[in-house]
Amino acid sequence: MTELTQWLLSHGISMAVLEILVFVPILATLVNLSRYFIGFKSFGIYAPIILGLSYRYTGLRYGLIITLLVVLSSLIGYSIMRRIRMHYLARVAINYLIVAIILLFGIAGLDSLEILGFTNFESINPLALISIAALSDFFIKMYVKKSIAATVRVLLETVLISVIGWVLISSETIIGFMLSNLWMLGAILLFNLLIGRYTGLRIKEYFRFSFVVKNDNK
Amino acid sequence: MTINELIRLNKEVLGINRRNQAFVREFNPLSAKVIADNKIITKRVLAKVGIKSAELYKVIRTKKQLEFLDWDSIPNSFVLKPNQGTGGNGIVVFYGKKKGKYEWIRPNGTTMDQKDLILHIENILDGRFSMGNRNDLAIIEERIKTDSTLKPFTYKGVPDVRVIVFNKIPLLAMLRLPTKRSNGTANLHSGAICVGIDIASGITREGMYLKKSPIIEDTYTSTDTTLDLEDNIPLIGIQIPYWNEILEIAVKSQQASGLGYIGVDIALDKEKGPMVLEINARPGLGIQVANKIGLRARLERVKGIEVKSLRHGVRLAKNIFGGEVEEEIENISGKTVVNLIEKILLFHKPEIEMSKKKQKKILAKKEVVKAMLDTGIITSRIDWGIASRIGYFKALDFFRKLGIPETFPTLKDAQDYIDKTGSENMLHPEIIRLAKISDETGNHILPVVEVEIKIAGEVKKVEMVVSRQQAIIYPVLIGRKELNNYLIDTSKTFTN
Repeated sequence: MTELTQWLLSHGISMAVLEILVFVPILATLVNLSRYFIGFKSFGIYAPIILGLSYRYTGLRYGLIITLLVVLSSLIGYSIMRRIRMHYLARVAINYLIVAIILLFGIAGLDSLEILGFTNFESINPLALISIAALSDFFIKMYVKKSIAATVRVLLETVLISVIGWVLISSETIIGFMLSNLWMLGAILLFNLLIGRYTGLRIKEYFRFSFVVKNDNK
Repeated sequence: MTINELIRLNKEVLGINRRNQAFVREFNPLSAKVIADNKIITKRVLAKVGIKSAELYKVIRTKKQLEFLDWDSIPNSFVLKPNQGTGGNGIVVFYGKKKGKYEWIRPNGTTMDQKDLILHIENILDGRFSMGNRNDLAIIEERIKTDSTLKPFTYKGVPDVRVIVFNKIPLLAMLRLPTKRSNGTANLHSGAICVGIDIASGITREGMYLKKSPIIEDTYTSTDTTLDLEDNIPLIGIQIPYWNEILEIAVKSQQASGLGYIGVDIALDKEKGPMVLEINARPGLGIQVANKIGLRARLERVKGIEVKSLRHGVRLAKNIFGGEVEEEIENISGKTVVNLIEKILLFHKPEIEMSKKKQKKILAKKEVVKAMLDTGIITSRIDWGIASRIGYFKALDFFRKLGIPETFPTLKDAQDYIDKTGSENMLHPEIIRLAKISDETGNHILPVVEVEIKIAGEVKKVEMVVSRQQAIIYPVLIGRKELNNYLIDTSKTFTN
């Protein structure tokens, strides 16, 4: 550990805070890269960051099953409430209620069935769990405006980015290196700047427009 | 794809990153974007330079105004839309109104009553369909009635032509056709067909549409015909009406709006002609898909060109980008245009029995006759009398002496006769073959000779059936066999 890290740790920064503050820029960079270089859409930048962080504290398997429960319950909740006219926030409140109920009984159900080996829900950080549940809001907001197909697509891409993020911030090597080399944050800044000025085609666009070249070869 | 192809693709195609950074941000000032994003202001700005857009009937700004809306003053047929909507969201079209009732009929036959309309307008005012969910205004405007040329290709809604203009030069254009799947909207993401258009001629290429694929986005498939109409018809080769006007309107709209890089949507009204539907400060990139042509290469090409006037811009576009058409179209546009009735030259047959010395002296005689270009027949035809006159007298006389009956009950009988008598094997050298012809007077066996003609400046030898029928008004009919390389213009006949 470098002197800088030592100094921070001895001046009110706990290890957990230091870790989480290093995780966030890593995840943000990943979202940035996925959007402008690959062409993945996600529910903004906040959702994949929060999801990635949550997975770190719940473990990937538990994180994903909770994500699935949240998405399913949002869908159920939305389709029930679609026909009732009401104010927007009332709708969101009811949606959260439905998510909460389904999470409660979903978790309890999985735990009692023991089919997939999900028996360790007790040790899950409640804050991480609630952070995953926040995904519901993003999901419903888009679902109201766009088609279910488009929404599921963005959801999958968001989860994919979060999983990659989870891989990055769960790697002891990477985190160990980052914590003892805090100057890397500067490198990350530069990297983000570069992506910010990238004007080339996104990887997905190479597929989308591939026939412009194919057409010429005819 | 090889590395080279990837590099080329990056050079030719405009991606979202570059569109935003190098074009939208660079050439579209905020003040101009405000115009483009607001339909009411757009109308006003366009009207100033004499560009037509749908007539504005009513603007509803607040729920209070909605309460006091004079429903009787709204024409029976109209369109209701959010002022700052995106992607066609929230637009409702009404074809007519039920007599004596406050009930309006939508294109799909369903109706909406006053209550439904008020609810929809409230949703619009709340900003449900608008950019960034801000509060919005609702506008009620004239419904555009589709031009008759494009109507057969369209399901319900209004097709439009999108033109991308940069630096006063139109770069790419596409036709967007509403389908059943797109529910009558011209939005590609809802499943409308996009068809590339050749900038120079305004003639369409093949169509593309978004595949119904839930997971992988933006996969397009090409189609030669419309998709879900009762009778699906080919999309290639449609001549877009008012093409020049459309290009000029697009350039004019760019100048008027102050946007440097713009997508102009133009619909064709049955009575009023081209009308601007909306202008876009961040036009989508799907137009490259429709045309299978990259936008970046074209943008780079016109960057920095000094365009003196509107016409100059249109002419430049036609010169620079015209002619990059697909094979099928190239075939058509490369063809000579001929009239339905053409004057042709008939060359008299050189008399081969004469000695070589004498033959040289006789210049091939020729005469002018009227010929009709008849796509209904395959082999060309020539009148018996004329054929005799231009040198086939002996051959025809020989044929007559074969004593073949003038008519046969069926074509099969005619063929049987030829087979039985072996007439085919004992022909005069100038008769190439025998033809079986069926017309209103019956089935005939007729001789075929080769005649030299000059048509549209081109001399060629043409096989012709020598016909005895008086029914032929024109002494020569040119058949399909010879017409491959011509486009027949039915509007012109030669003037005598």
